[in-house]
Amino acid sequence: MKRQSYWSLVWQQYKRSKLALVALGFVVVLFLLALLAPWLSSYSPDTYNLDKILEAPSIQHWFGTDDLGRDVLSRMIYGSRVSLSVGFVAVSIYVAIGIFLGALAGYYGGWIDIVISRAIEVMLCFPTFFLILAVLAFVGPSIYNIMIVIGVTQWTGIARLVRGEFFRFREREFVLSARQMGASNLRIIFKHILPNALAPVLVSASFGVAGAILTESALSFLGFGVPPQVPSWGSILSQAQSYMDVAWWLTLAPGFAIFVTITAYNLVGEGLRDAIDPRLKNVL
Amino acid sequence: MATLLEVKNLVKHYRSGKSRVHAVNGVSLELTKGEVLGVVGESGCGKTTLGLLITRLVKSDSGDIVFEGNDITHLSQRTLRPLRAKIQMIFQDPYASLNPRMRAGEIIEEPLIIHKRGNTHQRHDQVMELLDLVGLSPNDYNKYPHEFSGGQRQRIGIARAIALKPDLIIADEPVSALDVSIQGEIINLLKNLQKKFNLTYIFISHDLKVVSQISDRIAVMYLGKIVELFPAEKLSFARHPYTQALLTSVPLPDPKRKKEYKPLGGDVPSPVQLPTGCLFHPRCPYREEVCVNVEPQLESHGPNDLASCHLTHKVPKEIPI
Ligand SMILES: Nc1ncnc2c1ncn2[C@@H]1O[C@H](COP(=O)(O)OP(=O)(O)O)[C@@H](O)[C@H]1O
Ligand SMILES: [Mg+2]
Repeated sequence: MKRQSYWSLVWQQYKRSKLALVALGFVVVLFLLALLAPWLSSYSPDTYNLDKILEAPSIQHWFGTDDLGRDVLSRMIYGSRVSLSVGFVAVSIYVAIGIFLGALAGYYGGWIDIVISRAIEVMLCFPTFFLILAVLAFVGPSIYNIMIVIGVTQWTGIARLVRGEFFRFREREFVLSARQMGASNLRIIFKHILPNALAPVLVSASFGVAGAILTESALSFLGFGVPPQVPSWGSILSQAQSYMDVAWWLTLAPGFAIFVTITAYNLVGEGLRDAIDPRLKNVL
Repeated sequence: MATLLEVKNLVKHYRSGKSRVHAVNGVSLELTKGEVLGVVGESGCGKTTLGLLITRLVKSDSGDIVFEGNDITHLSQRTLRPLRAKIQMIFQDPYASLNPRMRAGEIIEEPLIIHKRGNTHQRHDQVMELLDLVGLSPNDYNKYPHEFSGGQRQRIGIARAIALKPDLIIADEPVSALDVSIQGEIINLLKNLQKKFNLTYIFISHDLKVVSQISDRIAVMYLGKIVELFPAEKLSFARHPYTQALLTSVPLPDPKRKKEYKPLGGDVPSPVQLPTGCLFHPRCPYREEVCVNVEPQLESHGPNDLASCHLTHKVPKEIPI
């Protein structure tokens, strides 16, 4: 038998799916795009050029120019920064909240569990997208507000998941053994239970990033997202949509980017889910 | 000899819905330092619960636990924590009792970290020593539990349990989940460690043969009670019909030696509805009127020899084993 940690076994399983690998590769490329945006784009995303408005794709402007003559490719590249940061920050916020509350509920049980479970049920009653719309209408659109609003409204799924895992593990013999040895509750939670509960959280988070990117795009498209001058795939799509009859090609790049990115994150999530389930669940 | 542990009248009933599971119904026992006490009884008779009660992982309904002269029955979990270094446990399931995300070395090191023994370097050396003591190789330090066989995993569990050189080790069915071929190895390992470090064990098993291989004294449990307690060398002179029934159901190495007594018939009665009188009477071949109505007490029948049976005069004096 080879000497391997759980995560390297997961990776081995993950690698078997070509589709999941391609999706992961795409996600990595997106990251590089966002990271290297200033070096990759030939134009500033904000520079107006009123001599060149609504141009069709050309050698100079691969995706054409918008109504203010800005280079759409450059705006798309910078826009990926918004999508990715919203996706990751918002999901990190709600994963943190979900782990915290789910762990508390699942580990301690009793009235703590009852209070948290009720809170989850109440949160689930609200249609979240409209809740987000309402809050953003109130606090005003900005990328940080989007992150926070998604973060504080979407934690219920992770909380329920983590609560279930903690329930499952807290009476396991290795947890009993740690308690027997005199380990503190914090040690048991962080060293013993959480590492065992993390894999399904990661799966859920990959789907979550897709969801958050879509939410951001939808919000920006509707004008509740980032301010219009900030390039985001949603706002680029929204602006392009006003010129559908004269420059229909402008909608292609943002629409396609949103679609492919979301698909990629969903495929990564599915690949991960297949990798940890069910084969490894029985082994480990 | 110094008394290490004294358990008095320990009771634990689990409540599930309206019914009560009488898991442990008034167990008393004493343990001297360096001794191995075997606890034997059919599955469901409350052995695991007894172990968990003694380590205070489960709260007792009543009774006292006195460890090294201190009553620990009502100590808070926080005050108990430093004391936990002195009592360690070996669990039944070598798959569930090791954290799958930790390396063998980390698992063995953990009690040392929790009780702040030594620095990183000293702990590492100590873990290496422990690996060697339980018959694992230094290479095993970095392996994960899933890379080991059941027997090897149990060795990791044993190394973890002896890491702090505890005063008491409770081994709950440490070999029951293992292949018969491996059981002997692990029992021998436990025996050798016990001699080497003068350890004290409470060794729990449903298998009388296994228990008699390692124990100095044997406590026989039935439906949450100790029905007989005797020195292991007097096994064949056990008086209680239940112990005798367990004895005769032990497979004999020599097929020519006939079993004179029927193996234990019937099922263990439910611990929800306890029988009246003697708990064993529904299954006892010698049952009389008194057994149905009057509960027998543990009575002395010789040095270190207790049995709770109204009819010890009636049952055979010796069982050929
Ligand atoms: N947490 C629990 N809740 C309810 N009943 C329990 C619990 N743990 C054990 N029991 C019951 O208590 C009885 C004794 O169980 P246990 O101590 O595990 O016996 P043994 O280890 O001898 O097989 C059994 O009937 C079992 O079903
Ligand atoms: Mg048991």
